Amino acid sequence: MRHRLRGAVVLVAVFFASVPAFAHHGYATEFDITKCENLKGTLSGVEWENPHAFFHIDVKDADGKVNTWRLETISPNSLKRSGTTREDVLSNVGKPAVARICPTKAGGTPYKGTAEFFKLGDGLLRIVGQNIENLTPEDLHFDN
Amino acid sequence: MTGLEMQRRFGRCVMMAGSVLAVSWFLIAPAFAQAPPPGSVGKVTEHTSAGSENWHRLPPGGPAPRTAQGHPDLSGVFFPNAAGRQVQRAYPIDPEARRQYDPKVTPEGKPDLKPGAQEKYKQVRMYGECTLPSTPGTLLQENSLTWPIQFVQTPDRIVMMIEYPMDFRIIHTDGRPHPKDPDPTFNGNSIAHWDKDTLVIDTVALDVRVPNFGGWWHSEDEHVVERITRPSKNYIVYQTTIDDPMVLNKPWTSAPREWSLSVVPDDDLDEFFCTTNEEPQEWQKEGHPQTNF
Repeated sequence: MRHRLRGAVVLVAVFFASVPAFAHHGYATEFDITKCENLKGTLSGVEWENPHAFFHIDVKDADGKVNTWRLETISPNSLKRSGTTREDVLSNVGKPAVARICPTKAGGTPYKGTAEFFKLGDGLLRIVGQNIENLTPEDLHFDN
Repeated sequence: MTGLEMQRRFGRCVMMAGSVLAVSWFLIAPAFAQAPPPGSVGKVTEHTSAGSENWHRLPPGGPAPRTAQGHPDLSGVFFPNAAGRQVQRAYPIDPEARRQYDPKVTPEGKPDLKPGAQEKYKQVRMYGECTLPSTPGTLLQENSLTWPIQFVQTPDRIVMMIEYPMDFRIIHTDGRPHPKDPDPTFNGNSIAHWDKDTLVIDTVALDVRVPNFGGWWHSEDEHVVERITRPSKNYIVYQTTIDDPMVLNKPWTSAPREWSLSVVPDDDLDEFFCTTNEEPQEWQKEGHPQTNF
């Protein structure tokens, strides 16, 4: 453990600017960043809470069954400061939405993930996560 | 218990100061080293809700306000960058607006650690649901954490509030000395005086259980001096020196770091609690009862 920590001190110096702003166990233990994908569906609700908000999106799977995904975002403090208020979200409930998400690992809670980017019914691209995949908006291809 | 197990068990909202997370980050994002710096990619043609692609360094904004005593008034909400806004890691943004200093102009060196001292002064790493606060570590970390601070300045005290972790520091400016035997706290005991237009904060009695920014342990004898100026309305400049003869060969001084005034007029901090709201049922499975008062 100590050996790992010592090496990590060097990494901190190099990567301090890129450590997620508010990060926790999620990316290392709960979510699978090799399985990130776009989800298209209907925005069905939001939990507007600290330290994470959760956006709900109803997505039809290949068999036509609709599942509600619960997607973790950055805190409402940060959402508000980046142009996404609670009202913005609520006013788009019931409308189409598309999100870039990273799901839980196999064995984790199904239909749960972290959301990195979201486009709600109003069409504005919203950055709601830490961009763990390091994508630019141009990489997203939400309209495909 | 392995490091990962410990992190999972106790670390639902633990923001390790960079060490363990930086290791796992490096391991899970091997392409990262080749990717452009986060959030600074040039050609952003799609408008984002934040509009960060259009954020740039704030102009100076005119002279700093002054108190009735004639000192610069530090009161206000300031962000750890030059943009006057919270700049999340993911935002595409002009790098000059994201940073607090230009490392090519004022590089920030590493501490000159005494051989063997880290082994002697290391502690069991504490955990908390939020990052544990410390002086000056919290303020040095905020550029990557991204959260604002707010000063409320009165004639005999300056209160510094920190949105994440939700925390405060009270800095006495009434000329009192440090108490005779102050209890160690994470933020330390702070007194300050004005040296012309520079607030000089002297802090002692710092709890040894939280490492410094960069992950190095300190002794009980650590002594921190912080200098804060407000050269213009939109900017605060913060620089800190850490002296610890048990651990350092010589004092370490940070780069002078800019903080920028919130673009929201008369702004206040928001509340940020690190509750375990991600997965209450998972949390209970691991043996942590939910408490409802």
